[in-house]
Amino acid sequence: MSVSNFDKWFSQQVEAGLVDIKLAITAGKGVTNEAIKDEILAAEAAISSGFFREPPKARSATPADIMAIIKNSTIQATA
Amino acid sequence: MNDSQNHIRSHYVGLMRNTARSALKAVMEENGLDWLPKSGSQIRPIPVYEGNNINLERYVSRKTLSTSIVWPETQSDTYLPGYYKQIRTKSGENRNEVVVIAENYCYARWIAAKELMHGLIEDDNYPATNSIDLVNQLIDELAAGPHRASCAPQTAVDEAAWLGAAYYLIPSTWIPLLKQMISDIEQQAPDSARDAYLHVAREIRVPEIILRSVLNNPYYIDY
Repeated sequence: MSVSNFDKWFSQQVEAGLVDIKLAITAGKGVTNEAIKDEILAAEAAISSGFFREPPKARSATPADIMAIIKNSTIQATA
Repeated sequence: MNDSQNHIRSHYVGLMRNTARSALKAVMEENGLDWLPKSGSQIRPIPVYEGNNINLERYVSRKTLSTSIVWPETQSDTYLPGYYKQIRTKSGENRNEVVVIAENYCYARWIAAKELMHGLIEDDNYPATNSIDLVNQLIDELAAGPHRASCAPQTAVDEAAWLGAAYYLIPSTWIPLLKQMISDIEQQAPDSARDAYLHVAREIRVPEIILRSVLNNPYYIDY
């Protein structure tokens, strides 16, 4: 059986000190073992090449009228 | 799933809940966030990677191992919005690296919080994913979701981390006030009632669907 690119990468990582990996996977139509591995390899390729972006920041804002309602919401403390 | 697998799942759910609670309390206290807010004006997002004060990323570094989040520039995030790695460095020390691919702010916070939870769990690496067979099992079980036939320890801890993220981002003591906010929007702005959850989710910067899931779950444990 041939060794896949992912298997090769993973073995190298373990040799280099990888102790554990955990994944956030969005299951859905079309998801496959290979598709997930390809996305790991794509992210790792970007990391190795130094292609980084800024962490996401808040862009959306709550409309003023809704914000006023939210800020004025109160609840009685329970004992 | 057999009894043993269910037992392991329960163990990690409990461990993750307690771990998230400790992290949340520390981060809230040091950021001056109210544990029992009485007014919507007291509600703010729980810091994950933002700000100059303590946040979850810094808390994990302080509590366990040096931890960093990296944000690769990649367009491939159809099925994988993020992941976690623990790495032993050449100097013999371990460090955590969380990779977040998700771009939307609320979603990125959710993914980062989930992956950072792994950095807080100390369980002698019993559920570690450290061989190609274990990686394949993890991917297959997570991708199959509720349709899978088994649940290995590394899958159990990975899924429990979602719950840890929910506990961290949506303090259970805030739930009555969050529900009141939604009710107030529905009553005072009927035209916006359909988006009431979205507006409140935006205030605490979590995905709307997560907020809905938590607020409508009677088993979300209050502590």
